[in-house]
Amino acid sequence: MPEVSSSEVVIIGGGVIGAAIAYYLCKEGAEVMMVEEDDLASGASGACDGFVSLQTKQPGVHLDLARESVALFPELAEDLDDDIEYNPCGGMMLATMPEQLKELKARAKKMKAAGLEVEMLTPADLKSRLPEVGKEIKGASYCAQDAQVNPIALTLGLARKAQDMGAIILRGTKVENIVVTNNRVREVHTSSGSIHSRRVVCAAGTGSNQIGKMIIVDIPVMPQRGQILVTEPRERMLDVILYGAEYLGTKGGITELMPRDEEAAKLGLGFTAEQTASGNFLLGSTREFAGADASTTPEAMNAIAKNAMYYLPWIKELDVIRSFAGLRPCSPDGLPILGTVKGVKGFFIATGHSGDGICLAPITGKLLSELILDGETSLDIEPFSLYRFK
Amino acid sequence: MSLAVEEREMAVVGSGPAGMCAALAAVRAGADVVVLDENERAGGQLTKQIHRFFGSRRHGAGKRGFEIAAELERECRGEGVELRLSSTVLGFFPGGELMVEGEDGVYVLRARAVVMATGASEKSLAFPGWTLPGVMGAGAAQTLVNLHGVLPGRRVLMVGTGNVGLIVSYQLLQAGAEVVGILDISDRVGGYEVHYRRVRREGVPFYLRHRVVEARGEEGVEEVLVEEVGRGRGRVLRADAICLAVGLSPLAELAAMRGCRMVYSRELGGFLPWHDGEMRTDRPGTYVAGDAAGVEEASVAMEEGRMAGISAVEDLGRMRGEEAERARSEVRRFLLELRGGPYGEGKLRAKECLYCA
Amino acid sequence: MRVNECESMQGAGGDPWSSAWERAARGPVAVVDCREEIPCNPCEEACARGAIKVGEDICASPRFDPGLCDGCGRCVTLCPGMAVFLLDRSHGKGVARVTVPYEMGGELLEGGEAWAMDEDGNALGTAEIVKVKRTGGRTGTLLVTVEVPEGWALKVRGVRDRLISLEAPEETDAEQRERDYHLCRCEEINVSDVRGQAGWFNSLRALRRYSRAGLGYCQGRFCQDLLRRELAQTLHAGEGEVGAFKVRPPVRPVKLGRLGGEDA
Repeated sequence: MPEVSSSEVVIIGGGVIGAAIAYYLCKEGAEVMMVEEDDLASGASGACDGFVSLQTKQPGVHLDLARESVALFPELAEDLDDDIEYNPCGGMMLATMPEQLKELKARAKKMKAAGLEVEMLTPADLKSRLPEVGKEIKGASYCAQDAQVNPIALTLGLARKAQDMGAIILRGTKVENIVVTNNRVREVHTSSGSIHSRRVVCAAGTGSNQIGKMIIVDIPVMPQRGQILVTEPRERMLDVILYGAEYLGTKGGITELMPRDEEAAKLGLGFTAEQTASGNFLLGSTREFAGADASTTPEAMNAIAKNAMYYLPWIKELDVIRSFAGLRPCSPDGLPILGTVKGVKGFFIATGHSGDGICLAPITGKLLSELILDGETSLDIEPFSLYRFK
Repeated sequence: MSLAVEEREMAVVGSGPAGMCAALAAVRAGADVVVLDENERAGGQLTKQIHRFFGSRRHGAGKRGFEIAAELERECRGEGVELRLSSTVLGFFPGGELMVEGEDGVYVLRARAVVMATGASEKSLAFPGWTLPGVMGAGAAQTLVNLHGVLPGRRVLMVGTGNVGLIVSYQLLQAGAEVVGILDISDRVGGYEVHYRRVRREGVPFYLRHRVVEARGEEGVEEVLVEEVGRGRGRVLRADAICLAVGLSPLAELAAMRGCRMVYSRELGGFLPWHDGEMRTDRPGTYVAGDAAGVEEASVAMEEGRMAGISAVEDLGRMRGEEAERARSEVRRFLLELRGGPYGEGKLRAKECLYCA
Repeated sequence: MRVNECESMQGAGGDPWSSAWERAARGPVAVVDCREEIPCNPCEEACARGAIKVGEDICASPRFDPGLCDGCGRCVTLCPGMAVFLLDRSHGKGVARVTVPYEMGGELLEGGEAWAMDEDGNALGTAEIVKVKRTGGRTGTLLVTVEVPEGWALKVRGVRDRLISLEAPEETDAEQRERDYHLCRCEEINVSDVRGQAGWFNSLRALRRYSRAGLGYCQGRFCQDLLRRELAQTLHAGEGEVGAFKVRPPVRPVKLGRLGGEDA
């Protein structure tokens, strides 16, 4: 890269959000540079499961955003050259206690009212759809529109397609400063030179606070660790994504649904399971605030394994071959932060997806592209403004 | 946590020469030591080595590897080291905990000092056909022959003329296999001349400046096309096994997981945890010794093990500084001796570079 | 070739046979044929009479005094490199007895015959076995003494119970057809996959993340090394520069049930 270059738009961050923004901008013919400190999908996008989940979203703006996003996946799967392993397999949320079942029923009703088909399954229905489940399971809610995708392939696919359309991707390049003059972004200083640009997008995930500080804006994103176990690959056994009802407790803060077990509650443990296209089971997951430490812990590995056996007793025979942890960029209310910044023209934010980044990436990319190029969006993003926190 | 947690003063991972010597040095200073090893018997690679050892008497030279292993094991048990076999360390976490799978299940072991003496793994070589049955590491072949009494093949091609390639070739001959050739890309034999002559004397052909072009066969290796480098002239060797003796890499995954700073040294076999001359890594209470700290000979591993044991007991407060220093200076002298001569020189330089890195 | 170099070393250091030759006329004497500086000294301690000296620096070549040697043969047994032999010219004109270490198994019996082999594995001819001495241990070394024409005394380096004639390899023009092959067996990633996308795979971690190479059951234990070498070559970089996989527990596969706290 020459020491000084220029670009119409500079995207900071090579995760799924940055890649999606680059893709949609390039589709509109924009000139894009994407700057990534480490490597594509090296943060949360490369250390998560592949849930594209609707029934876990809060009815309202959150669910609306997610539904718009999920609608974009089929065409992405078509348009991208990489196989993103998109599979509209549906999702089941399992209840193990009567009060959970009651809560799931109430939710299903609310979801239906909001226009999302969520049906309740009896233990008999479950039996016909799932290989043997734990005897504690009292029932489940099912959403046919839940899906799975390979998050790394998605990130890479978006980035590569953007590159094919002209985007320049700078890997291993750290943003050192952002120059603002006369209330407008002018230049991005990086470890490999300066880039003149009048439009800069912060899609830096957990690194967004640091980027915000460069323009004296507080972007309230906290890293929240999620640990996942990976089993050996097996032939296809599970063609649905699974969550335990307590997932809604640990993710959505619904207190009635928090795990009973004290340690599980401390780890923010919510059961998730999917079988990936390569046959491995990904079993999750925790929600912990542990700073920047992205290592896995013996406590969580044990707790995840124990929990998975509770839901799927047969899984205990599988070998665990790996564990990993990702740091989700969490906003104070768990909704993404999208939009502009007051007093700094040309600076855009797309971060804080709080564990929904994979699911929300397509719509985030599309909306940000609209915002950057046209100044307005096809869906109202005011509810996701940075200023909702003040 | 539903996993049991055990607290110990010191844990050693690996019961090879380095691990057992570390444990002995520590237990003699009064430390409580448990040695973990995934194998059923103690001794690491020594258990399958039926050739007489080099080095000095102090390191059991002139004895055979398995005899040295048995002696170290006896000493360890006699001095009160707990040897916990069939126990696989699954993880070494940044907080310092070990996750262990023993015969009765998985548990967490917290030790104030941990010595990683995990040894090395065999490097591999890829060529068309390398995934056919019959292609294996020379060390794996050695295990088959010397521990299980099974020949890897009737007609074996050895790749690599280092000491491992030469010694295993000799042992294959002893077990009744035919060694159809020993091949090396280099134009010189890598191992000790005495090992070369032992094999040569048996009439084994050497193919220097040669490479494997491909292995062919239906259900397993049947023949191997080799080629003299740069000459384009090929030979087809009839062989049903190919043993790869192309070097060893430190088995340092636990160190990486623990968060130790990793450095690369070609001379020492690859990535390994940085350590100082007293076998301390950059993580507190974490030591490394033997091949895991850079691939060398078994006698060096023993001395490094002692060094790590001494440093650990010093840090645990069980040995006074001057006493530890006296003990270490003796070990240092032996190490210098062992790394003397034209073969040791490269290792010595690499280690010295490392200490300063 | 290494051999030539060794011969020149031998020339520089003096012929180990000549020093013992005269002494051998009076009975068995050791010939210490150790030509290289390696860290090793069991021969020194093997000799009760102090005929072999290595000294403080264990890498030094042994110095041998034939005058002190009584031909006991302990050094022949204990030399890990099998580089010591006994020579005995006291049994009459025209013959010599050579005692060599033997570890190959097979039928070698006193009074029988063995093939006498030279340094390069060529058979000199058959010779009478006059003595077989067992030295114990699991793969105990035999000391085998053969009587040979005096002319062979300088050449015999080993004995064999039978000759194996190796089939001469068939010579061909090495075909230069490049065949693709796996580097990572678990995930079936080929050499061409690595070479074809070098722009994206700029480190071993990137290679794993993007291609899944090294993410299979073996967790990279078998392929990491191969992938690193191939990637380094493709990128014209050092193996150290392309880095290593990130290591995540468990380093060995473990049954989920056990991780979950179940007993065996």
